[in-house]
Amino acid sequence: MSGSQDPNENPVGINVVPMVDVIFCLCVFFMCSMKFKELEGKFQSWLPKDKGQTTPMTKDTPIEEIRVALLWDKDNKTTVRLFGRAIIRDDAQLQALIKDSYADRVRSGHPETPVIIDAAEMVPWREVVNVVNLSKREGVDKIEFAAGKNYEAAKK
Amino acid sequence: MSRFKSQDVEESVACNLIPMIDIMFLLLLFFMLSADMTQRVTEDMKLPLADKAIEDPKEKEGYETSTVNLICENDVWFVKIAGHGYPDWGHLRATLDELARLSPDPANKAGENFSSRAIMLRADSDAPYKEVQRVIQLCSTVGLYKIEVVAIKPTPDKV
Repeated sequence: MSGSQDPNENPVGINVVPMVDVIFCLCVFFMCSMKFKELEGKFQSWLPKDKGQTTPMTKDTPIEEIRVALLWDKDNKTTVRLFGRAIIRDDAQLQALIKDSYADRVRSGHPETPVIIDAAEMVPWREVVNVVNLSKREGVDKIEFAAGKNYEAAKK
Repeated sequence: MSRFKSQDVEESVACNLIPMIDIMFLLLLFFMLSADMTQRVTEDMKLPLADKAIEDPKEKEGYETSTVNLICENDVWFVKIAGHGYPDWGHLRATLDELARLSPDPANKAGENFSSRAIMLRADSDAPYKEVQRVIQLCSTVGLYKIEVVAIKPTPDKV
């Protein structure tokens, strides 16, 4: 890169200005297209192979589940979370309820008890993922999504 | 005499471009190396936050994965796979079926058509649950039962 710029010494001088222009343009292009990667993670959720969409329940079937219902309030455009019949105020309350219920199930010898998320159609996906996350915080392995409308069947 | 002096001064103020070119080359090299020029399988979207999401392990997990993006454009929710949009659910089903057939599950018994391929479901955090549910149902219908829900691990400023 070093060398004299005296044209008398080197008569075949290279004009570097167009090259600088091109490199500037390339730099600007790459700077604009650069994006810092966000750290992504995943929840593995294997769908049941042996179960259909509806599990028949009889009157005598014991309730062996922890169910969180997510309802959509159309007027206020917010999600209403229910645990049993209790309306959940915040994440801490929901996490505490999941913790207590799951601890009960583990004590009674059913650590495989799932948390079932029963969400309404218009509930934003982030609310559902939030419940999955809270359940994972309490060490719940099995998380199930309640079957809603069967779109494939409805099409036929 | 004074004329000669002024000429000397003019010559000595010549700008040396060489260090600047060196630095620009280094910058160019840095940006080129950090640029992601591979085929984009992920779409730009706002993913839901979840601190308990497991980071993608670097080593292979013994199965193939395909990324399915659920995004919204002009108030229409649709799926994009490897940069190709599927506003029609019939076409999406055909593509998912094709993906499922590429990697049949070795544990399949006679008459079963499950696939060992996992679906990385990247759904926008604002996506209505019914759209996500529909994609999951479609995957289940064609035998893709390994669903991986993608979320962003919060950084300290996002907590």
